[in-house]
Amino acid sequence: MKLKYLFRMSFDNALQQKGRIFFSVALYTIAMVLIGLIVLLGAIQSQVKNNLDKAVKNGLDNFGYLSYSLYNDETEDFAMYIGETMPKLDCIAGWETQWELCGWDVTGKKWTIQYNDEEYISDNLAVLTDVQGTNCYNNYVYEDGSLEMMGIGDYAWNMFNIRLYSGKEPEQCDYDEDWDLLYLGYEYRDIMKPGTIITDGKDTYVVAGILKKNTLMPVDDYVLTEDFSSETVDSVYMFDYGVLEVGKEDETAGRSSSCFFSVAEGYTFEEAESMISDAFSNIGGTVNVVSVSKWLNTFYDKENENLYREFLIMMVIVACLILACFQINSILSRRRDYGVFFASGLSHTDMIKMVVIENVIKIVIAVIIMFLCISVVINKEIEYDLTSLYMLKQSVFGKLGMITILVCSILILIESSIPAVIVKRLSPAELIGGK
Amino acid sequence: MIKIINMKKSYKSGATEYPALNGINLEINDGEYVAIVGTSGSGKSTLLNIIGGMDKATEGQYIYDNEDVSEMKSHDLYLFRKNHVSFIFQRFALLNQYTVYENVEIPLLARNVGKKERKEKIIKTLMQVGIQDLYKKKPTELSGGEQQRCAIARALVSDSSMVLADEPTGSLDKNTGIKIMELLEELNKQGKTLIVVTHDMNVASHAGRIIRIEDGLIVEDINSDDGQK
Repeated sequence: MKLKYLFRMSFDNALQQKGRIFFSVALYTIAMVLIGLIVLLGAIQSQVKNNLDKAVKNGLDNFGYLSYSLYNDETEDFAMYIGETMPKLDCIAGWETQWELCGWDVTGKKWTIQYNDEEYISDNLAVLTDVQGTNCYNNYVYEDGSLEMMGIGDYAWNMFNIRLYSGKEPEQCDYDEDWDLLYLGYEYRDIMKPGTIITDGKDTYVVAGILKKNTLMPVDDYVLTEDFSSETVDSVYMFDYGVLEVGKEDETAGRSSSCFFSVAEGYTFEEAESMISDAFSNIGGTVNVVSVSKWLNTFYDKENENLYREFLIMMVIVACLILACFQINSILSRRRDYGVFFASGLSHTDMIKMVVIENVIKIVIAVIIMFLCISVVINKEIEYDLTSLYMLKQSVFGKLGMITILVCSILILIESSIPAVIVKRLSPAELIGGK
Repeated sequence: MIKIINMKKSYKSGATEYPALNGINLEINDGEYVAIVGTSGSGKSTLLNIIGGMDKATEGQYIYDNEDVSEMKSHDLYLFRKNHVSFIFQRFALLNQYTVYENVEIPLLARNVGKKERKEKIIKTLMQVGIQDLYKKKPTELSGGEQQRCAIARALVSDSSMVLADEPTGSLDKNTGIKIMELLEELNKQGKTLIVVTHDMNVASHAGRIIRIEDGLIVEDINSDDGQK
C-alpha cells in the first residue's frame, strides 16, 4: 500500500480515538519535556567548560593559566625568556594583556582602508564600526567611533580553535614583515576581503582572513578567573563581530602578571607546570600555575552530571514501559480494525507501517511541544547575556536534537514492535473476533 | 477451484486442545453458490476463515487453483487474500472512523488503485448496492441493512473471484435479510464463487449447494439441483 494512503489511514485511526490519542500524546509530551529539562539543567551545569573547550584548540586538559610576581622589574624580558626556555609550552602570554584593558583594545585610529596601493575605499573606520555596532564584547557603541579589537601574538594562534572562512593563517602569510595581520569576524565577510590593506599613517595592517561563523575565543584570563561564577560567566566570546589583531612575536611581549598558556604536544601538563615553577625560581619570582580544566572542575560536581545522565536514562526506561503498556492496550482495543484491514487486502507490513506512522505523529507533536517549552524556559527564565544565551541554546538544542532522535527512535521502535508482535501472533480471523 | 483434503483445525488454550475441524474433505467449483450450515460451534466459520486465508489449518491440504494455500506463509496468504478473496461479516465489520465511501475505498487503496479509477469503481459499486446517496455518512449513522450493503460494496469493489460471507443476514431483520441475499445471488450470477456461512436454512436455501457441518465434519452435502451428493 502506498505510504500516503497509510499516512491518511493512520491519521484517521488516530483521530478516531481522540481521548486515547490525547492521553498517549500527553504521556509522550511529559516524557519528552522532562528529558528536555534534564538536558537543559545538564547544559547549564557544564556550559562554561564546554564552551571553553570548543574555543581551545587542543582541549582544556592542555590549557593553563598562570599568574606570577617577580622580585625585580624584568617583566619586559619575561615573555622572551619564557618562550626560549620553555619548549613544553606552545605559547605563553597568549593575550596582549594589559591589566586595565582586560585583553580588549579599542582603536580610534583614522584608518585608511584600501584594496591595494591605489584603490582607496574608505578613510575611516565606519565601514567596520557600523557592522560591529553593539555586538562587541562590551556591548556598547564607542562614542568616538572606535572599533573594539582583540590582540594576540602570532605564536598564540595555535592555542585557539580558530577556523578561517577565507584567507590565510599567520604562518602562511607572506606580507610585509612590518604589517600586523587582521582577522575579521564572519559578519564582515561582505565588507572586506582578505588582502585589504589598512593604514593609519604610521602602522600598516592587512586583512589576512575572515573567521568562520560562530568562531569562539576565550574571554580574557582576568574575567574567567577573577570574576568567575559557574552559572553566569561568559567563558567565551563569539567572534562573528570581532576583530582580531595578530601581532608579531617581538611586539606583543607579555607585560601582564597573568596569562593563559597551552602545553606543547607530547608533554603533560604536570611537566609544563614543573618547568614553569623552576624557571620562576631561577629568575627570582613566584608563580601560580593552574590547569583550567581542573580548576573548572572544582565548580562542577561530577556526581551531579552523572546523576543527570542516570536520571535521563531512567526517564527513557520509565517512559518506554508506561507507553508500551498503553500501546498494548490501545492495539488490543483496536484489533478488530486490524482484522478488517487484513481482510481488505492489507499486509502485515502495511499494519506495522500504520502503527509506526501513528507513533511518529504522536511523538512529533510531543517533540514540538517539548522544544517550545524549552525555548520558553531558556528565553524567559534564564538571565544570561546574549552570547551565553546563544551558546546555551546551541548547546541545549544541539544535545536535545541528538537525544531526541535517539530517544524517539527507541520509543518508536518499542511502541511499534509490541503491536507488530501482537498482530503477527494472531491470525486475521482471531483479530476480527473469532476464536 | 477449491479442493480441501482431510483438513483439521484445533485451538489451544493452555494445555487443552479444542478441535474445530476434524478432517474436512471438500471441493467447490468456480462460480458455485455454496451455503455452509451448522449449529453454533460446529466449525463452519473456521472453515470459511481457512478458505479465505484468514486462518491456517492445523493439518490437511487446501488447494486453490493448483496453489497449495495450506503451505503458504503469512506474506503469501496476504497476497492470496488480496488477489482472490472478499469478505462479508455478520456484524458488518465496518470501520466507524471512515465514511461509507472510505470504507469501500480500503480494498482499492490496498491494491494501489489510482484516484480516478477508485472513484469510478466506488460510485459504481455503491449504486449497485443502492446506497450511493449515503456515501458521506459514517457507519454509525446507517441502519443495519445499509451497513451490510456498505460491507457488500466493500467486498464487491475489489472484483475478487471468491466472496465469503459469514452470517451476512445474522444482524438484520427478515425483509432486509432477503434483500441482502438477493444482492448476493446477483453476485453469484456475475460468475463469482459465493460461499455463505449461516445457521438459517431460509438463507441457505438460496444457494445451489448446501453443506452441513457438525462437530467439525461434513455430515451432508446437498446440491439443490441434483439432489444429495
